[in-house]
Amino acid sequence: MAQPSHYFRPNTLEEALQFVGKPKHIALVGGAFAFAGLDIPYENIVDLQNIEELKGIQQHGETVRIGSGTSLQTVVDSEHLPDELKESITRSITLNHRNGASVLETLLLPLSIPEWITVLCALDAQVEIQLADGERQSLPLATALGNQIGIMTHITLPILSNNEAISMAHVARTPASIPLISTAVYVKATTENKIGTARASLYGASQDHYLLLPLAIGGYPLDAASIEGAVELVSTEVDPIGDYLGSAEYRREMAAVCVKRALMQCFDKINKT
Amino acid sequence: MQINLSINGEEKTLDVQVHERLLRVLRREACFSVKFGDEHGMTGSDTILLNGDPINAGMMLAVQAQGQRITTLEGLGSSRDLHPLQKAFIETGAIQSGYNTPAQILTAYALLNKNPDPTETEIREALAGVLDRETGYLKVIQAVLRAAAIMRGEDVPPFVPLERAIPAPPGLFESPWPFDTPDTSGDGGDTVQTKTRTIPAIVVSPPELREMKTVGKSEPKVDAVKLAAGKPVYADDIEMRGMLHAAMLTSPHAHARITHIDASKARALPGVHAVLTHEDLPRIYYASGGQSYPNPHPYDQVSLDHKVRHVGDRVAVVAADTQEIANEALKLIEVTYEVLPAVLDMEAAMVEGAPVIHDEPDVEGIYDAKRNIVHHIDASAGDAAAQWAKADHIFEGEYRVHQVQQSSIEPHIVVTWWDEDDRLVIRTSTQVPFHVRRMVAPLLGLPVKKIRVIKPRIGGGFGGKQEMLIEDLCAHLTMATGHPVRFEYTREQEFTSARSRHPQILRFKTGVTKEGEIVAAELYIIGNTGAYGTHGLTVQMVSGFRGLTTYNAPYSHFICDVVYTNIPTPGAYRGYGAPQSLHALEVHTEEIAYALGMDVIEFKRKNWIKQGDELIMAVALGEGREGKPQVVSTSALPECVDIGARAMNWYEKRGKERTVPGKPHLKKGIGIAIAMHGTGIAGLDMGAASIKLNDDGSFNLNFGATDLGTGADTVLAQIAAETLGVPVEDIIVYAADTDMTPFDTGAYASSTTYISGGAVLKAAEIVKSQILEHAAKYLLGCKPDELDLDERQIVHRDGRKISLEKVALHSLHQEDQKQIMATASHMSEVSPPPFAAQFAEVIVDTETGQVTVERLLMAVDCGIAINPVTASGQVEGGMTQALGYAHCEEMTYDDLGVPLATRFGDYHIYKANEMPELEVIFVETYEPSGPFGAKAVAEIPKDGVAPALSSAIFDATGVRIRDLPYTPERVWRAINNGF
Repeated sequence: MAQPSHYFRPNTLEEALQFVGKPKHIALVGGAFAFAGLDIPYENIVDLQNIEELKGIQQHGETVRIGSGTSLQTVVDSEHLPDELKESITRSITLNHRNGASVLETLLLPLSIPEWITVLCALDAQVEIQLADGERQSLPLATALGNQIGIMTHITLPILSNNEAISMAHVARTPASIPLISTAVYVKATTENKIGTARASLYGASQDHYLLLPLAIGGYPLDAASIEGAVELVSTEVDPIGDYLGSAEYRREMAAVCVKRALMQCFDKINKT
Repeated sequence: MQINLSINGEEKTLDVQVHERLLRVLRREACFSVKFGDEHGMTGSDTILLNGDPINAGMMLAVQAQGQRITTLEGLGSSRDLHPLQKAFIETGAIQSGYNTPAQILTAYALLNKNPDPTETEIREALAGVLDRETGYLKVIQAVLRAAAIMRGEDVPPFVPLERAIPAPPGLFESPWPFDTPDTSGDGGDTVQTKTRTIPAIVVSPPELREMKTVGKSEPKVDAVKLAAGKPVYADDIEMRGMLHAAMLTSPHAHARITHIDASKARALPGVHAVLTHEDLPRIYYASGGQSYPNPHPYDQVSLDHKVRHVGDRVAVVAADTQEIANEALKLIEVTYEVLPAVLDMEAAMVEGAPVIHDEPDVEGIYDAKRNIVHHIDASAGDAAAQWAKADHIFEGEYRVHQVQQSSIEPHIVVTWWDEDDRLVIRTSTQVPFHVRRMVAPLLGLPVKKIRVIKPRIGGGFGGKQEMLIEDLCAHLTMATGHPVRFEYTREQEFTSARSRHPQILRFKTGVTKEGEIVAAELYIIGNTGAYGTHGLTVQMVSGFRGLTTYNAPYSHFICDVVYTNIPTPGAYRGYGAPQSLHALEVHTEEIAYALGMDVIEFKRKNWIKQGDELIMAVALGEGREGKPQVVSTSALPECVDIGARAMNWYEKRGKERTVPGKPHLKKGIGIAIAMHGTGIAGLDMGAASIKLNDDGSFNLNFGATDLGTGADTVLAQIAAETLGVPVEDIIVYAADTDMTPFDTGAYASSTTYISGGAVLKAAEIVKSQILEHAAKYLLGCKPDELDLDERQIVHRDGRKISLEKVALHSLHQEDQKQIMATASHMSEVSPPPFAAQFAEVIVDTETGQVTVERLLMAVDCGIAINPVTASGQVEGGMTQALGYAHCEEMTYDDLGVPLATRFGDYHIYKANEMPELEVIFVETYEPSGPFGAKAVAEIPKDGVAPALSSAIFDATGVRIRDLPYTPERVWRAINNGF
């Protein structure tokens, strides 16, 4: 595996764009996950840490933008973001890694922090990408994962209103170990207090690791029967691979249990507001 | 390229290469407190503060630190000017091996800078990025709470750990549990409470125990200051001119023959000094387990072989100018393998026609090589026919236990060089320096006298370093190159190429009368020793011994097959066979109790071995040889169970259906297991110590015993200090170095306090008599027996006193000059067992099978605890390791034998922020054969957690789980399918 031999630290996005996308180049901000996951098979490191516009978390109207150069600990410390998103980071990612890793790395190496990606997908996060030709792209996060074309500059998330909720559930061996199944469910209720939109994001329940499932329970009440309907749907849609953490059969069962729990929590949150 | 950065407040310009990690650059800058633990930042050993925030220095390039501010532990305080955090870590006993102490202190420092008054939860969350394999995190949390209070400027009382209560208060066992943890929050003193008890409760001491000055006191560890200061004390903390770096090529196949190997391209790579393959080394068979002479068979390993028997097996080694060149050279070694069928399953390996793993004709000591059976054991005691005839019921059960890794945070690391006298020096992280010297000599073709082995501080061992594992290869590289060579395992190699705990299948058959008396027991074990037989015989024998003597049926029969498979080789791991068999035994006996309708505790109590009983299998099952007769001379097991049950509110909880309010799927359970362990190996273990009086009345204490972080050096110093009437600070400890210290078999089998401590006691008594004789004859004009030593003085019964210093100066310089000193050896024909009662509380999620462990409590009879704080640290850390064994740690393989979890995270070790409550109670007895009444404490905490969890899961759910670990899926299947 090649050892990196050249290091660049551009000060602007424009400067950085001259390097990215080229063979044997990788753009990083922090390092923790990249160094753990990639073992740096790149000859040229483009360090984006000086590019201020990639950093920080800002609220814009009904959305929040998280710069890809933001450290995960900054996400955890932010006042703008929902607790579920923070918990998706803190449960199994330790402080050292949160300080050392940036949001960008989690998008480049999405298996490094599955619960975070799961919640982002459920929230229908969008990724903004700056291309070398000056064009900008906005993609759903689920399709942007692993992208190395251009520079992923921001994630954009909706700010949840009172009739919206996000909840998580997972199964793991211990309270802080990596999950074998992780789910996040998003629900938006109508003004009639019926289900408007519902979707489940799952990790560990499909061949591609991540699965985003629209839950076809729109128009139904926020009750147990609706949950059962959604769970039935999940059970038919998931297609997990077994591994040393859990068999395919067990993962399938747990996907249903986790979606059920997350839906119940969402309904509880909405009903309380 | 050049970078500018600030290191501990000093502006520096450094030449670095782009690929260099910050970790290596900092160590080059003498920041030795920053350490390697793994390649993925999971251990946190490489923690530094980058602009005030903790990050992993091994996870970033040095060039990324350009313009940044770095703080390492060296920037916080020195050994002469300790930071309050460093002081608190020392005072509270938060340091064991100390390998990750710098990382813990730095992380805590960063936390307290941002949050001067953190909660325990916040501290645990911050420290979760620094793995601790030793302490159970308890005293670490206590230390941070205390330091925080001090740093806030609060009036913090001196730290005074609870000392023993002598004697037990009348009616103790009848009264309500008196040691409920008060719900107080920190004033920073000894009453600082975490959610867990940090100071052990010592509830009983025997009346014959006299008040002592240092023994029984929680003295700070003698090595604590240097460890808290992050000084360069470990094997890797040495720099030598011309030092080369080693790397090892390992097998990608579980079973293969090397038909061709060509290292020419690797040798031609600039910077490579040597490449060694099986073609370059003599073929000398050996057994790698660090055990006494003669090592038990089989001798089935050679340093490098033409056949590989597991993924991770040794193929070649390289020495080069840099680690990168060495790693690159490995890729240039061309190896042609003839891949052979592999067998991973121990039962399949015994079937006729299975792949034969050791088919070499000249290997020594394999029982049945064609069926991969390396040992067959058949041992019994008692009258089979008569005892089985008494049985009204016969119960049988099969239990399976899995493979786990010791996971010391410091990997195996060795540095070798030729000294100025052309003697080979081996500086190695080992538990057995003297065994290493003896065992490595024939492999190198050197006489023992040409080899010196130095054991510096060790970053944890747990049995994994009771092995001559890589010293031979590193030494061969030094011999081939003439250079000093450094060889450290990667974390992946720790999982694939080091040692682990033996997986076993255990089948119990037990005969019981209708009154509930166990009258006969048979135990058949298949032990999986992987590719090589090291420790395979003796671990299984200990399994049989513990499995059959804890209840000591009048007829006991042990049968065992120790089997080769193509998995990485198991070896010694703290507990040494007992955790496997006691898991099976304790689940089995609880099953019997339920089947008979008896109370679990009462059934166990009726049958467990009692004080005065002879251990029925002691002679039949020694450790690799015939054993010695053994009688239980002391046991507080009944008191351990009673006190533990009271502390846990056992009778109010057990058998009662309890759930988490509002969550009926979360069911609560409480469980119990008992344990009996050993104290050294009777008739085999031997330690020696030398004590020398200095001019100022201080003493040098030299011994070969190896402190792995357990506090053994401190305990041995306490024994010497108590005998010689001086404070511990007057005892200067040096260990272990084959040139400089007397022999010791090493740190294993819970032997150090008992065996090596016995040697120290003897040596100290001889030195004491020499001092008294000299003082009596030349300075006080009396008989020696009219004198005693106390508080650095020789005290006459009439009240006259002279100082030790005066005697020292007189004996060295003035009259009848001589060096007052002595060397003594100690071994024991008995191995007095410590006892314990282990309790556990769990919550079981019945929909997912997920088990959350809420509380672990162990009541332990370890004889007299020479140092209650270090002893309780052993129990807390041992329980935590045992929890991992029971709950989450697991070495697994794909169908081809490729390991699936070779990094932390995938192989999960409990972190600070997910720990259950831990509690330790010492119930002391006075063991007459031990120094100051001591027995052992290091291994027994590993024995009871798994069966106690099984017991608790049964209490919560009604399902009995016999196999480890208790993964969510295993528990879920048991709940859904029934037992």
